[in-house]
Amino acid sequence: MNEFLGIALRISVMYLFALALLRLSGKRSIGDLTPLDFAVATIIGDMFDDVFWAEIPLSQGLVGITTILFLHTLVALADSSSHRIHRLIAGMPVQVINQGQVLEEGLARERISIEALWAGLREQGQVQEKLPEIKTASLEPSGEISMILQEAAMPVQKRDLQRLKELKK
Amino acid sequence: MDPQDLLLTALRASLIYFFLLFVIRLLGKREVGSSSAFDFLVALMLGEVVDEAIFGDVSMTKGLLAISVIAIWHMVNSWASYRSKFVQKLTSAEPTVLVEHGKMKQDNLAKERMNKEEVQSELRLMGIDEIKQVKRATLEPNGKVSVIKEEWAEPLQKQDFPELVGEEKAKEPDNGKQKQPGKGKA
Repeated sequence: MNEFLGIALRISVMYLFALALLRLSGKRSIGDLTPLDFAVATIIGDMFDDVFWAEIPLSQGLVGITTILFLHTLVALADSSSHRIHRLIAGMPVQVINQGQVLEEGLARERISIEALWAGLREQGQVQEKLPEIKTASLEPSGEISMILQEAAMPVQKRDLQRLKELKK
Repeated sequence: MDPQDLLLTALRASLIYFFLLFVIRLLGKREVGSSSAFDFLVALMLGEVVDEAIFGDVSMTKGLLAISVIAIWHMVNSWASYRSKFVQKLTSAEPTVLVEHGKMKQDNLAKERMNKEEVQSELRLMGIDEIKQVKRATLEPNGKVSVIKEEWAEPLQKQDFPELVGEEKAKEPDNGKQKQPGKGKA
């Protein structure tokens, strides 16, 4: 019975500890997590159960997890404070379409097939046939494809109505 | 490997699987489906716990106990943050304004450990390449960036053409008359 109580207690401590650490890390959703975050989360998750079953003492588990997260936070701080380090860690956006032209070397560098590019554009309601309407498209560090339309293909905005009225005068 | 051992492993795996299924259903959609980073960590915790129970390194009782304790804490946590503003503030993030009237808010970016390039990337993903079009961009508690555009950068609405709005209103009663007899017959 004592053994069971021990497990419940250790899990409770670890749960609250994990909650506190995650709040401090400032990470919100899975979408926020970088590939490195995922790797770190898996390492930490792996340490949890060793503590649960008392394969290692609670104190050792806490120190192990804190150390990993401390280093990870240092990297994140460096990442947000310097452009050069950010580009090193997160990567740069890579242009894959420029002025309606598909940039083959961009696709090749990021190992994206042309089909994957069309799929990314379709997700934003853009079709292959309207390629000339796209000013730029880039593969963002998050892995998503962003798209900026040509001026002429942009939806009409309220300011345009104002311009139109001025032109009519 | 003894066939009986293998059979036992399969049995334990099945039992754990259905127990997890039950627990996750019990936790409800909000906790599991909201894909917050913490839910992800809790899912990892649950996953790490079960393997030793499946392979018989720890007893089944201990395995089920561990899953239950994690689940109970998770329920208490979401119940408490639903009931109390204080706990809510303590356990989940608040919205942070990243861009206001076309200007990046440096100190807020630093607070969220984001840099300009990440914000620019978020805006590009919404098809915006001029930051001056942005009235307010906010990092929401769910980790997504929301963008409200300046009034002049908003798409035109029907109400911007009073003659069009008038036209539709004039049509409406007409449509109504046409539909009503149909409804009457049905």
